[in-house]
Amino acid sequence: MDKILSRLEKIILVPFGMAVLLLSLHVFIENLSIIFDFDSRGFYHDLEHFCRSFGLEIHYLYLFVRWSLVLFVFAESLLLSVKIFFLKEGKEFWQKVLFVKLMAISGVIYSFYLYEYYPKNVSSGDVGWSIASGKCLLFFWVSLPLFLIICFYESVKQKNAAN
Amino acid sequence: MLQIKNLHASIDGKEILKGLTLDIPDGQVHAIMGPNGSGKSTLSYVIAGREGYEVTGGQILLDGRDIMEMAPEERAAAGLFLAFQYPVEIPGVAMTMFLKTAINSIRKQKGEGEIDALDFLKLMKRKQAELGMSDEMMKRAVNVGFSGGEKKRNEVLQMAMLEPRMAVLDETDSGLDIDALKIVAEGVNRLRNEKRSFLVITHYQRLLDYIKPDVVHVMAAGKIVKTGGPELAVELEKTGYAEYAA
Repeated sequence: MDKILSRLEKIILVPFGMAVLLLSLHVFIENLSIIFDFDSRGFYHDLEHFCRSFGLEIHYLYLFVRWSLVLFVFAESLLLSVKIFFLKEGKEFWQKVLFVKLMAISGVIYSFYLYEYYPKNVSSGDVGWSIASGKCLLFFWVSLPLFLIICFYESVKQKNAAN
Repeated sequence: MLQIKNLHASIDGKEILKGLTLDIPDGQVHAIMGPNGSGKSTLSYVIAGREGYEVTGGQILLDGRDIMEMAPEERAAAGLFLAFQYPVEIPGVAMTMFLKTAINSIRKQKGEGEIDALDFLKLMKRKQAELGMSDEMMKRAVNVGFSGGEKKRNEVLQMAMLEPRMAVLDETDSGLDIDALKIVAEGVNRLRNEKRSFLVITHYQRLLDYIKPDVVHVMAAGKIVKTGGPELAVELEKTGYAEYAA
């Protein structure tokens, strides 16, 4: 069973997961350029005007960003779940990772809720809120690799201790 | 359709529009021509409700409704469309997705149900066929990697999809070669009907060779200084704006 799963992971899950991750990361980084490119060129205001003149409230744009993020976290968590429950390698370590991932997913779902409902209750196209939310997303993306580096360090430490 | 009465507007405390009055009835195409700095683009921004422009007096009525207090997206839902001089690029957001979301947002504001994906695709294919456009552009991100001509052609398709009552074309000919200009003009002409009006803002008469206006206005120093028929545009091409810039 382990051999089959291991092969399955190598043949299907890893390339598929990597493709999904790279795609969503690519989309997300492009969207980030929208969020953080506005100060120097007044781009954000042009973007807002452009979208609103199409009848879109500005938070719709962040919906696209959100979904690419959700897709990323979902795909990654799916891969990790497979590792934890079927591959038996470093179970304890990956359990910790999964816990944080689940926290992240909860955070994303909560953000989704806020994006979807909060602006409608405040005012249409609440720019300040959108910018703040964009910064929260950036914080998440900066903290995620940091967390993975810490996890990797912990893993190496555990292996060294075992040896 | 669109009535602008004694409109005054300023930006950063500087008055740009100084008592502009304009009346565009149903189904007509009006052109505004004028020298640089006369306030043409400001007019389009103020009509569309762009933030940063302070309206200090006057009224803008669309189908008899005062749109001054409406947010830009509400104006779009009321039937206003602005074709940008320089359309914004949005990487990572597919054109199809953007348009579908825009249409659904407008439908929602009108209290209508959302269009489903299948109906949207059918509508898009129909509009593309009507305008003779390929669907290759729709698969790309909004305006990303588009040439000037492609962006403008794309705008025509966007306009066709949103079916506005009043379309403002802000220097839509800028950066277009003759072939692209003809294609865009042809698209606009196909969208002309007795219920839809256009305000075409341009520097040059050449666009008006292809989009025949009913009325031509000359704008200078923030107001309309002369109004006439299509022959006025031809006259301006010969004499320039010196007379009005003084």
